[in-house]
Amino acid sequence: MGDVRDVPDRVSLLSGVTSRRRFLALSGGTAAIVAMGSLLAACEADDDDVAAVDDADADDGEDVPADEPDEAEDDGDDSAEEPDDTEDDSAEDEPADDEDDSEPEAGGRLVVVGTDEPETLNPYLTQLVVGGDILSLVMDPLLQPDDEGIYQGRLAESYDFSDDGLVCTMELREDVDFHDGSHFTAEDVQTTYETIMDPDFGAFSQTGWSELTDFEIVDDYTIEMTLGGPYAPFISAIGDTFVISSSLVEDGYESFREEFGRSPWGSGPYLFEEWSSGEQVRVTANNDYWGGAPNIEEVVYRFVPNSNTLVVQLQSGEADLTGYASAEQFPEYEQMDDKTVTVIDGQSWFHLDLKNFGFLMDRNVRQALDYATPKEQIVDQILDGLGTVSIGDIPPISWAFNPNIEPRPYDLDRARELLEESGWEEGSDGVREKDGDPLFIEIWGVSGDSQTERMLQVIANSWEQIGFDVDLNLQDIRTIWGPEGYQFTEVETAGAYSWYNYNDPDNMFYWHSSQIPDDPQGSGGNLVAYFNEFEYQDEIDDLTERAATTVDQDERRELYWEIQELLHEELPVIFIYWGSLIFVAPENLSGFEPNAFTRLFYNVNEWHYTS
Amino acid sequence: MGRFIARRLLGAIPLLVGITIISFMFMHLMPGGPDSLYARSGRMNQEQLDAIRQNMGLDQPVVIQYARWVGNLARGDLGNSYVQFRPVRDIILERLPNTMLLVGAGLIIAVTFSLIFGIVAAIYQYSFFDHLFSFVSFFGMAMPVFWFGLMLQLLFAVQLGWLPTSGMGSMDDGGIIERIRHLILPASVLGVGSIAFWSRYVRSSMLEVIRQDYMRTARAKGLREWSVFSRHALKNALIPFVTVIGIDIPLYFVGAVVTETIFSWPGMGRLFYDSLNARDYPVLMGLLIFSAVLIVIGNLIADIAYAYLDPRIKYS
Amino acid sequence: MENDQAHGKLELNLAQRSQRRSHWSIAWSRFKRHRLAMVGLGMISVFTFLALFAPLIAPYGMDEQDLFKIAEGPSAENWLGTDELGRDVLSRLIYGGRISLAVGLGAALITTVVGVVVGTTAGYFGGWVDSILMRFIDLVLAFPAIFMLLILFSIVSASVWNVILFLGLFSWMWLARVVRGELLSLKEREFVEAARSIGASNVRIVSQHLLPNVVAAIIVSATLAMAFNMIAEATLSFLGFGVPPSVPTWGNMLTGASSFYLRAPLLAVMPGVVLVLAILAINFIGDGLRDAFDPQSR
Repeated sequence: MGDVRDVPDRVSLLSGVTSRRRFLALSGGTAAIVAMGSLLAACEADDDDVAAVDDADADDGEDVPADEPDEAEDDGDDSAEEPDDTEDDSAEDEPADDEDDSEPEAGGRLVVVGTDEPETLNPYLTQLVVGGDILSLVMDPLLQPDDEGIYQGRLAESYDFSDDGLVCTMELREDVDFHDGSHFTAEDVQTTYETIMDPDFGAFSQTGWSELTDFEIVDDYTIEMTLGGPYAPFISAIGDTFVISSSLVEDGYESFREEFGRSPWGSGPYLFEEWSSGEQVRVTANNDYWGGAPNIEEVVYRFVPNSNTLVVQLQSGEADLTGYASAEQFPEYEQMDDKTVTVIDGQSWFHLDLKNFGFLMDRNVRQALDYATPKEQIVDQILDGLGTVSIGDIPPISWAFNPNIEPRPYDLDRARELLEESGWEEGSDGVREKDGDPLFIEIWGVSGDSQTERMLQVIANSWEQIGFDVDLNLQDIRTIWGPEGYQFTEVETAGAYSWYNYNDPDNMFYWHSSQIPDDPQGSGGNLVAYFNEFEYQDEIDDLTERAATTVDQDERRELYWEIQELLHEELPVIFIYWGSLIFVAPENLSGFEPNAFTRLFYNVNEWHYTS
Repeated sequence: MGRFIARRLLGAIPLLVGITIISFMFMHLMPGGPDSLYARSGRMNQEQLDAIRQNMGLDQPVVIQYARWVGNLARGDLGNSYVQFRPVRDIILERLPNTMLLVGAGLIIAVTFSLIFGIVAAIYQYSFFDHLFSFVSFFGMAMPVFWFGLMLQLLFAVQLGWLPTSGMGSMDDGGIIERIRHLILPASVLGVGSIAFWSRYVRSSMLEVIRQDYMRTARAKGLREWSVFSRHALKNALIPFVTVIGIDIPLYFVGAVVTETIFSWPGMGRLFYDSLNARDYPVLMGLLIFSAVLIVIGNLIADIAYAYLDPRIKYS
Repeated sequence: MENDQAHGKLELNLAQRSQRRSHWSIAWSRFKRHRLAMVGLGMISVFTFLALFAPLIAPYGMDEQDLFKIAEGPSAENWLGTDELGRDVLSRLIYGGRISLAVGLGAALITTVVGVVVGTTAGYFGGWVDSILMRFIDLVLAFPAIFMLLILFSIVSASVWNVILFLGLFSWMWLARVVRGELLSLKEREFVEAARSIGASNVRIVSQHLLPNVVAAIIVSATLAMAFNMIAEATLSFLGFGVPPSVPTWGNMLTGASSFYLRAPLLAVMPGVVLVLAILAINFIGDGLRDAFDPQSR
């Protein structure tokens, strides 16, 4: 997993009830881990994807010339996004003061508030969005996604693929120094790679890096990485990796794991000052930052677990800025005089897994449930319009999104018809029956988030109106994924999750047969097919495999469009909405341009106050 | 006296052993045992799990596991957090001063008001004040701490904006004044529960003393009311009160869970709550053992103090 | 009871019984004179009545949602306004009383049964049985109940029954100590000796001769346990480890509305006020009972 964002917004797991979180977003690439995330330093490799791709590779071994796969086809439209041009783009990393009309004010202090506190600030161990966000103040990633999710240069100035798409060459910046004064070279990237891959260290995720069969230092500022097979998501999988100085792990991992995790440093725009546990992290400007010294003197990231309190602090001016704010408090945010609220489309998709078991194996029933789910009401009334009714896992901001599919309308009559068609007759107590069996379904959801709880109560209510007997069960994520979880009971169940995609549309993790767990606690994201494979499984296996190994973006897009059509028809899950991201910032803060593809502070050195 | 203390100390030992056994069992009773959390991640293969189990010593017999665990415990090694990747001891000790500050402030508030209310109510027994205090103390006892905290927060911090909503206030920003402003609400919430009980206690022990003969004698001798109170009554009434406080202090650390959670006070209570939500069981176990030991010590000290202060107790 | 001497079983029983009856009626007449206790009794009767007949009284259903009326203030249709799902707050409060009172009562029942059994065993047998049980109580008391409950409910999913069971299992210790203390002194009295001398079994001695004398203490403790357990239930729910959120309890109502406190503070106030009133009522009754059974205590 490259992007911190595919780590869930795990607010509820850490701060729980008094701070009601927006949603639980589970990761795309590494969902299962993320769900368990807070528990452990998972020493596993995220190699499920890998294995699958390797298989696919065998079927599909055409040698496709690969530039940066994601955007290869955008090149014609916009040469600025051409990866080979990133040398030019990297100029954008210089302070952009001159772009502003208003008078920039140097100095000042910015108090950022969030409900979560990182468990650690070790870049390869933290599993929280907030961990990556805070680290983006003091460290630099290899590459930087732009506002279309296309990876541009950062520590690596540019990257290029060999004609067969198997060798990636990166040119590194030559003017980067770490905070300890040492100079950034190819060796540091190699150390980063080796640390992540070392099972003794136990990095949280190895996605992307594990594709490599060879890592070579060509010269101090050039590296060459060789992949085992064509893997379209490679760049987005490794691009967000923070690079550490190789001196950190010279003497083993212990101090890197513990001390560095409490006081990180790197090559980033801010210098780490202190982390007061339970309170805040404070950083000060790195005036020697290679991308240009930041304007704001000091940034404080304060942890305010209670979302009401967070609102009050923003109101009273105790705090200035918050990212990923709760939609529930949107009205309060909007009323703040000196704050600007920015809403952007995100990459999370909220859905209900429909376990392929019993009557849920009947597509009519699945579609009936879809018709009976008031998605629009949910988005309008519960989310305050801060979301988009969804038809699949790939969000509209992705280039792979299929805009031609209409969500099923909320139509209880149509839902009833479909149930009748399948032989479910009205019973005496309003619950439908077939051959004496009642139409009983459990809904399971992650507890701790009032918005989710409210949505599920609404859905349960609605399903009851078409003759279901619904049992709503809210549990913490560990119980859900544990041995007593719903996936493994022989009861028809709908499980509610919000999953976060990472920047590549590759979705084998959700739908491919290799991702069906072998046992109740096995790995894989295709949980719905645990009891029975879907009839269309072969078809979607083929499509997702081809999509992950095709490097031509137009071809890939077509494959993903087909996948979305298939999913909309078959409904292994009920797609409900794509979430929006809400940011609240001071009105006089300039340069703050939140981007759903990357971290909160990705361009922090360009932020400044205006008078 | 020395023998009494020694006996009490010896008596606490089986209790401490019991505490370690129960805590140890608790960890092993968790579904699947202490490694289940790893297993539940669902993405670990058998080999990796075995390695972790071996690392945790889970392949050894239970008795040896327990012995190892207690041995570590005795050296202050509470293990490592699953979540924070560092020693539990460090995590707890880091929060200890914050909680002590809060508990200290809460105690000061509680003791001050309990004494004032209790003494005034006793002196003016059956007066309007007495009835008022007893009525208010009923409310104090009926009020769930979390709700009281919520109401204070909504009123003083949100509606009126007089006090900060939460947190501890950074010493860099506002210094000691800012810290005190942050302390007022949570400390009051923490203390208010005891005021209801303690003031009643002070009142009744004051009344008991007042009714006693030597007080009548003192008064008959014409000593002025206040000096009678301060010299005789107060001192004798305070002795049992001190021991009550001693017994209740550990409960303050427990009460801190709710208070610190509501006011985001970065102490051990909030650590407990956060760890609970993160299912960070090593930290939870550490806090559980810590508070259990605290309670045992608190009772021990109260016992000894009571015996020391009250000569009527026979050390048998 | 001092008058009952060893004149044989029959007389003893008769004498005890008649005295007990008069004892009860004296207590009741004292209780009736306790103004606060009567107020408490009245309040709790109202709460019980509302809870029992909730479906008939509540203006709306327990789960009747209206997404177009989220967190609105009091109006003619919704006297106390609506909650985070547009449900009627008044109706939810009425239904919530059912669970809150049931949890309090159920847990108090468990508290009482376990406390009496353990306390009686320890107090009656004394000796090593007593030592072991008392050390065990010390041990249990060393672990703060709220910690244990929170950890337990982070492992076991909390249903209403679970909450009742575990609340009860973590709050019997004080009652056991009280019962034990009373029994230790009572069992030395003559009438117990007398009963034993005519060959009465242990169970008989305890149930016929000893327990009736500690009933007052048990009842007072049980009312306090009920109040304590209701607060504990609300606290657990508020912290997110109590009864499932879909079940309306006063604690859950506070949690459910927590993100609306700024917009609709009434949602934070109402369930708390009701909870405080209910607990106040129970404590008044407890106070009245204590005074009624033991007028010297005040």
